[in-house]
Amino acid sequence: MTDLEERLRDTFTARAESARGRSDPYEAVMGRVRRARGRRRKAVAGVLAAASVLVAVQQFEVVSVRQSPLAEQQQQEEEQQEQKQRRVRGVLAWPARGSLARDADFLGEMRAWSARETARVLYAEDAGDLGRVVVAALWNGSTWRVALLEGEAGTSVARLTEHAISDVGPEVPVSAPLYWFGEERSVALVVGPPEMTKVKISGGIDYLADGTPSRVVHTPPVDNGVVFTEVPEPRSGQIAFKAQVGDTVYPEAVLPSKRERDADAFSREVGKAARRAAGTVDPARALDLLYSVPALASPVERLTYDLLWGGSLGDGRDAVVATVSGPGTPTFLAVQVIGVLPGGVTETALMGRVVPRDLWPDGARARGEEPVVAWTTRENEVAVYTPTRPRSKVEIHSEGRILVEGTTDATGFVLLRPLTPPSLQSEARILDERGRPVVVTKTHLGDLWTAVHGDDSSW
Amino acid sequence: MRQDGEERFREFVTSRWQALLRTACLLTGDDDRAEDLLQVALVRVHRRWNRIDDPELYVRRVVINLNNSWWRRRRVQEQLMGVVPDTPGAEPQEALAVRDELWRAVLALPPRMRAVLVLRYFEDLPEAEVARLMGCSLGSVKSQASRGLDRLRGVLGREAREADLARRV
Repeated sequence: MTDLEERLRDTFTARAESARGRSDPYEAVMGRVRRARGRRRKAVAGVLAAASVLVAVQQFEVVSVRQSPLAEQQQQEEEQQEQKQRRVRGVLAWPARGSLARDADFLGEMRAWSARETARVLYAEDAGDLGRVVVAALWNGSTWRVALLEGEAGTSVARLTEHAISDVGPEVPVSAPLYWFGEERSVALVVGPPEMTKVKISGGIDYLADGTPSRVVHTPPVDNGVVFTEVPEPRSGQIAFKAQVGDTVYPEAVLPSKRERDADAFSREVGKAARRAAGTVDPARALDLLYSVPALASPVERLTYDLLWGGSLGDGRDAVVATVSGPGTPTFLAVQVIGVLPGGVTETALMGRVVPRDLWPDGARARGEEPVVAWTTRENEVAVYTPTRPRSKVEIHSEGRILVEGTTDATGFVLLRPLTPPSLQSEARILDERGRPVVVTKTHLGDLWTAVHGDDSSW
Repeated sequence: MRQDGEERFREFVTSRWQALLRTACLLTGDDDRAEDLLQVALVRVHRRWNRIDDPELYVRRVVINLNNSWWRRRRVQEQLMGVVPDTPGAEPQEALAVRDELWRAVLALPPRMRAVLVLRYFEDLPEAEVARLMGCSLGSVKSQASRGLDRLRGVLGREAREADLARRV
């Protein structure tokens, strides 16, 4: 063990010892259970009324629904609603800003628009080509919400379009800024407390020649805790924000793409790719596996997909190997593993790295290279896939010795179980007929998210 | 829940509370937040008590996941990182300062990276068990641990350099 690891243990132990005890934790938890039950009963009551017709037909199924997922979802929504209320109450401490915030005519329009609610304007601005935006907290007599209204400059409040605003969600600190990106005019709005002094906006990710992701960052001036600006060349699904309030910096917030139509088109492509998995892995399972990739490789529109391999890793686990690429992105090699372990615990892994665009699945020999990927999903297990080297010998090397060896099957795949776990530096070597290594790769494959988006700390 | 189940749940909470709270404190870096997340996790366990094979695993997973989702939006000090080799053991009078600095650096790590380090170096779980607990691959655990240690090493290295500079000035 290194000195740093030893110090880390000491630090953790010292901090953990300072955790205070509680005389009766069971009673504290049960108090919370009782409160949750009360809320759940109230929330589920309406749903049960609608479901009562079904009870006469299929009583048992309905009863099971009443006791588990539906009730759980209702409770989570209730908890989220409570968080939201706390969040909005925090936002109410912010001053009203923007040129329209004290305009009597505009405020009169706001009152008329929010006839049944009490509106408190947080920001209202009319900025020519950027359009008109209004952020307001609204009280309907029992709950608060934050609304964002947007439209062409000069549009009356009644004709503005209401949008959802990001980060008015559960578990958000009360002082966190609000983020919004308008795709139609490519404008970004960040509203925070006046202490917000710095905002970074990234419209997308560029990739260096070696495939390393590099965010294109724009640092607009902050005016009294507000930024309303154009975002040059934004890429849907890659828009990200960072903000500094006082001396603290919020980690990046990536806004999801709202282009559902394009996402649907992508889903069809995923479906086609999954069907090609027939014979190697259950198409339904392949579909599940592949669906989780686009969320990482956003923007999802016009991504292309090639399923290279699908199969079982044993113990109820399946894996697929696929390439994914999109406009302006490198090609990512993705490995997805999923399985249900004894006891019902789901094991999943989504790994990947950048690969030369013409290497997978074709073009390898033309480049004088061999496509190969290796990954570890368990401590004593290494999977190797090399489609151009079926029935070839594979060795796993670590610190100058061979941990295990085996032979790829007809598809170029082999699963090896060394007695000694491989390290981060371990390599898989594919040998030719004469026993010479023709391709070498690390047995460790990194996270796909990091390969696609880079590190939060890099910008 | 039946009476015997309730009794077993009470026994589980009473016996495991302090250990689970310690881990939650290290994951969240905040005692109040840790207790809050732990209670939320135990409420969920209570609801599923008769269907859960391993309640402790379940609680840990819920706490880790809740903390990950909350952290993505919480404030965090930005850290400048560089990579230097492990430094030799600090002198006794400096040990507390180093420990504080290390803890601040741990708090600045992304939540999954911090969770890997807590599970590896506080809970002493093998990497495969950490992967199972966090629902990720073994490779992911290895890389998160390696990168986490690199970052901490960077912070300690910077501190050492600054202290050395201060002594020279």
